[in-house]
Amino acid sequence: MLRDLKALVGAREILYMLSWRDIKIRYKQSLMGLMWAILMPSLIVGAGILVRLAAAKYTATSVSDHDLASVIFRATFWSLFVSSIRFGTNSLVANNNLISKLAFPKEVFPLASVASCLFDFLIAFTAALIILLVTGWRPSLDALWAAPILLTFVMLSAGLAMLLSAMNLFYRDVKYVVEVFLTYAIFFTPVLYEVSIAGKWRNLLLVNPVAPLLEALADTLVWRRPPNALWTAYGFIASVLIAAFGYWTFKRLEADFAERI
Amino acid sequence: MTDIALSMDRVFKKFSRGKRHDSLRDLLPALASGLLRRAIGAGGLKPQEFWALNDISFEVKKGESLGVVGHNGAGKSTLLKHLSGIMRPTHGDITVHGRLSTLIEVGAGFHPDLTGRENVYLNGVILGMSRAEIRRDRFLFLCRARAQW
Repeated sequence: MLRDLKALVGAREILYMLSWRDIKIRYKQSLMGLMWAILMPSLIVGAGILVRLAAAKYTATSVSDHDLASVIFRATFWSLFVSSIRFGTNSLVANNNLISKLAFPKEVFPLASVASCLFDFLIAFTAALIILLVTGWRPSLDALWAAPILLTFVMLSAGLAMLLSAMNLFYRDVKYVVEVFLTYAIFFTPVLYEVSIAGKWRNLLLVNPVAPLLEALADTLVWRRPPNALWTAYGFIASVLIAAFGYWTFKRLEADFAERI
Repeated sequence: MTDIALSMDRVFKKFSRGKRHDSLRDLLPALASGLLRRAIGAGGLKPQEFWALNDISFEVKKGESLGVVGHNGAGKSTLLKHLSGIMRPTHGDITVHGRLSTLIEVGAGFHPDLTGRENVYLNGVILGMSRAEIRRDRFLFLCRARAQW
């Protein structure tokens, strides 16, 4: 594993160039340009506001600025996660001409997809911060937690992208399963709502490692308090384990990629 | 330091032709019938399998050139893919000293949406150069890229 990691470091220029290529191609000849990065999070925010309005009506409360900020942060991070996995799953098959003809650590393909999605995320996140600052949102020192949370998100996404891209190379219908899964995953993840909505079932929702990370995000950025230590640690450890498992599986299957693609 | 640049020692590669299960939908029935067949017992080379590389050994010293000639499907590209590490042999050892780049299909990394210059950088890096090296040689590369198109 250490030798594999060393080879990956040796291939950093390729990783950089592939990420750059993915970003370039996405933004080239596209009418939307940078708007593209903002489209998906905006749609999720729209849906989130709708859900909260409905909930507010039901409970006879109103939708606060905090609810808005919470759904904006959750939406940007969720779309980073979803698009990383979507692009990542396809990354090996989409580059089949390179995989059967060139030798370098193949994990650069899923990792480059994640990196290009991270680029989109940074645009969307900047836009979100501007909007929120204009509307009166102010961060506290707890907001610094956003950096390690982002890192954990990237790790989790990269691990899943590696695992799923390798599976999709051997079995091409994996991407359809992933597609269906991602479509419905938003209902089981606290993106449009807060876990507190589930009452005594909240711990069940938090088992999904994305959930405690999103909750930690809302705690630190919106409610200006440190995140729940136990659940955040759980989210982090689960992400590390998934990333390690994804990488390990990928490296084990890698030798057969060129033959089976 | 040894003066052998490339060597292959008794390299075998088994290929399998015919049906491959590349969707989960096909996999489950295939697994079931595979289990059945394994229970009946079939040793060695199965009917749809063949040796793409059969006991290949050679050494190339520094400064030497080696040409490999053969019909379509003889295994020339397969040999090259093993040398470059794209494929892993079924048995045998392969050693490479130094930097190796294959020209199996030079245009593999070209992307039609990128400009010529951008493609030069992308392909150079994919073939194992650093961006600094490409910056130095890019005019040469650009000419070659144009010639290829």
